Amino acid sequence: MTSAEIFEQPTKQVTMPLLDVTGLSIVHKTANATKTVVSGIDLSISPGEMIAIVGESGSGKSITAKAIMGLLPTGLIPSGTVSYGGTNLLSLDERDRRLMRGSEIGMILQDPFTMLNPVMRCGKILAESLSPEFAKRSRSEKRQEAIRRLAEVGIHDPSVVDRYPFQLSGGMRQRVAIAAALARDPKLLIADEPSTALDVTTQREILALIKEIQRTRGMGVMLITHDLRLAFGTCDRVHVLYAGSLLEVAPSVEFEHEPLHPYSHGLLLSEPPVDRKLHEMLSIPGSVPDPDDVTGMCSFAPRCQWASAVCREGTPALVQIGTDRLSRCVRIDEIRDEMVQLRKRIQAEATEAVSEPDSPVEPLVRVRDVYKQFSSGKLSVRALDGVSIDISDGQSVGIVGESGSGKTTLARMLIGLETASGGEIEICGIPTTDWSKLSRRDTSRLRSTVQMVFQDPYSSLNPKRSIGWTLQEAIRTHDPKARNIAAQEAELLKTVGLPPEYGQRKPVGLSGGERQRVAIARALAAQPQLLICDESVSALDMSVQAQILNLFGKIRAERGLGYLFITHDLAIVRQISDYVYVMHRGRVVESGPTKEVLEQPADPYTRKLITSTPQSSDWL
Amino acid sequence: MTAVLEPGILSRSRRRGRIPWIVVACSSVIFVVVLSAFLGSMLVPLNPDAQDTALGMSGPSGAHLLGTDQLGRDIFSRLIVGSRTAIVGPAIVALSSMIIGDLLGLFAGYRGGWVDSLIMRWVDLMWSIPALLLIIVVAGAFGGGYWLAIGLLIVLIVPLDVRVVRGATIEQMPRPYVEAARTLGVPGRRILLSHIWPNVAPVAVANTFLIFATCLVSLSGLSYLGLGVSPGTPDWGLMLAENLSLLFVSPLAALAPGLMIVLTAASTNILGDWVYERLSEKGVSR
Repeated sequence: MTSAEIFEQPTKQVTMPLLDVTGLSIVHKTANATKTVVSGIDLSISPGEMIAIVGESGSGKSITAKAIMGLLPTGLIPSGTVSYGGTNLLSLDERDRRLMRGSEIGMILQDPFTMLNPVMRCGKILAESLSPEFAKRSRSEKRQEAIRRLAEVGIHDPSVVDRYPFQLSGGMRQRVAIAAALARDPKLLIADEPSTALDVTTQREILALIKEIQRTRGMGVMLITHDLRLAFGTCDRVHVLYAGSLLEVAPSVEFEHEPLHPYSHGLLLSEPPVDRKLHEMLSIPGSVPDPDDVTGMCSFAPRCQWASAVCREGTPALVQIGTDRLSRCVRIDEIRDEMVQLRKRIQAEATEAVSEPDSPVEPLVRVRDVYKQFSSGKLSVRALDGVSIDISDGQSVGIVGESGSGKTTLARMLIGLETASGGEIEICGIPTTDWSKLSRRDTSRLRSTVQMVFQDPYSSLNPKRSIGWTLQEAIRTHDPKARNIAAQEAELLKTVGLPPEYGQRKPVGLSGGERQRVAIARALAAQPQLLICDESVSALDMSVQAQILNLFGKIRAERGLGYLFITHDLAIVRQISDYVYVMHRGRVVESGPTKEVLEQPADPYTRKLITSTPQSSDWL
Repeated sequence: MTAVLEPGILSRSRRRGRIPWIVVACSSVIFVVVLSAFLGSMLVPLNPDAQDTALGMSGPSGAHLLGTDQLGRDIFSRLIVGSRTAIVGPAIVALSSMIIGDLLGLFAGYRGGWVDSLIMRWVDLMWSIPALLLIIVVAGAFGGGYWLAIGLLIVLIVPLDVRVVRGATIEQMPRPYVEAARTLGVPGRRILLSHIWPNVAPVAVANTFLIFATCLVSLSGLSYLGLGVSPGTPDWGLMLAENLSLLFVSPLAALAPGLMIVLTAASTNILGDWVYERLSEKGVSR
């Protein structure tokens, strides 16, 4: 911080919070109903402080940020006060609010791919975001300023100002977006999931950048994320939002040491660790409810293992525990020790669990020197470049890599959705390099050997068909002569932990986790020996992710089937697979038993991946 | 787990319903028109073809609700019976375009490649011909006729549907649920008809309504020009042409059939919009 900047900051601002939100509630008004989105949120940010709002999808975290920015969609009505420098932002008119945006409060959004206007060059995007005093300056002056601003976010290549957003990588776009958000030097920055759409290594760089800028400028930052560890690694204080209300507020260090609400405790335990394998992850049952379905009681009570009559007798207040910790749990004093015990037990269990070494057998899937070239016009990209992998019967194999590493292309080849440009693929002894050349008998044999669970449970089920219809079709396709289909359907639903009544429902009535269960049931209908899971849990909320991972473990134990886990998340690989391949730019850079690879990585890229995974201490 | 989720789902589905009044009004119009198309001859107060040359043209009266035309025929009765030619032709065109057009569109979108190119080039060719002009020329050369006009309309309007359905199919193709069905080994025909079709149905059905309205107006126009129904038939378009000369003497005689055309076409469009909304909200995936 330069002396001039210190001089500029009046001393009273240090004690007075930059932003003070009290009793913020947001309702969604439609013609027929009024729905609560967020209720009674209190939070404050001091200059130079970085706070996190952690919550799962539907918890209202993004809406809260939009309310602070004054960017709520029509129909959403805020109440309470959002006070910034003494004025209540909610009472300002649109013109005054617009003047605040960018110059006082800046914002960056999750998706760097849609946030920047695709028809504008980066220089123009930045020039537009600059303060009004630049409007009259010459074009070259604006350009110089844009280049200077880009350098501040770590882009030292001045040619970027002449490029369009689509010509930049995701990380670069996010940097440009940050530069644009900071162009008018706001005192507060709201970052809404700024790194969720990015790869782990890029995520770390972007957060390190935000943290650095926050420190040098003494700016207040509000980070919105679903990832508790990310929050611990970057923020001073963590606010846990659930079903529209804050359940716990605590400084990061103390929070990580001991969460004081069953929900945060559960959330913390359902995040799989990278450094060890657990027998079973602790998962929170169910999924995030609608705020209106849990009014007049503790919003977490329906999913809480400690819930008792007291919890359902009224909405508990956010009470102070210790110096600067708040929790909304009424039974916290009674269950505190129990939670500590439970965490200890899970830690203890973890150290015992070791992945069993697998004996070499004839592989079920054999991939040799496969490559794949995608070309459009003059451009051609080599998505896979001489990849060889083996998967034996009943083995659980993980493929880790960032986007563009070719891992999904490989998976799609194994299932016949993509054809290799060269190399050999053999499944069950059948050469399957080109599926279109296979006989009908071979194809149907392969279908019941390899099945796939897709990434996005929201689009992998036909929205117009009931769950039962989908499953019955899968059963019939696998065995046209099948009898008692209804019984088989119920059996499949039971296997994935859903009640048989779900057969009548359509996907729209199901949560993400439930849909993914159905997708797993559909794949199991073909009674495969190998299940390919392409990022099958990455679209799910943290608490649900653990449920599904446990389900995969349970199915494997019951049916003895093998997995091919395609993921970007090392922690998931650690939990679920025995053997791992690390892919980078279409090549396998390292492979070996999961424990060995993750504990003694030989390749520099693997090492980089491991250090980039969010950790609470020494991460940035 | 289910117990937790139950209330949310129920309240969500309960919030739907309540048909807007405009839709009720439009449905009633169409219901009345369809009813009179089927039961026309039983509903009419007077024989629509009975001439009363002695009376000749007359204004609205107790005996003739909307008056009579120059030949003394009861306009109200002719209006009721005229709904048959107004409805039947467009319905045939709409249905055949839905069946032929949707199948071709689905197939072109699903198969891609040369099949797609072939179908789409034919569609382009049909698009490049001004439909009404061609019908006028052909109908003029062959002496006109209601069924000829319908036949020509089918050939010219089906491509409209093909293009829309093909676009919707291509949009569905890369969706994981289609890929999931493929990986299960579901046959292509089945993927097309029981997976993709229900998802493009809202667009296709809405388009069918639109085609119905377009054909109603086109066929009435042809009859107006004397290229549609044979002279003397009670038909809204023809009535409009016959009674146009009476516009300032007995305005209802000319305006009533015209109004019926507009009312029916507009009602169909509004109903089509609503059906589209209903169908697509049922399957919103997020």
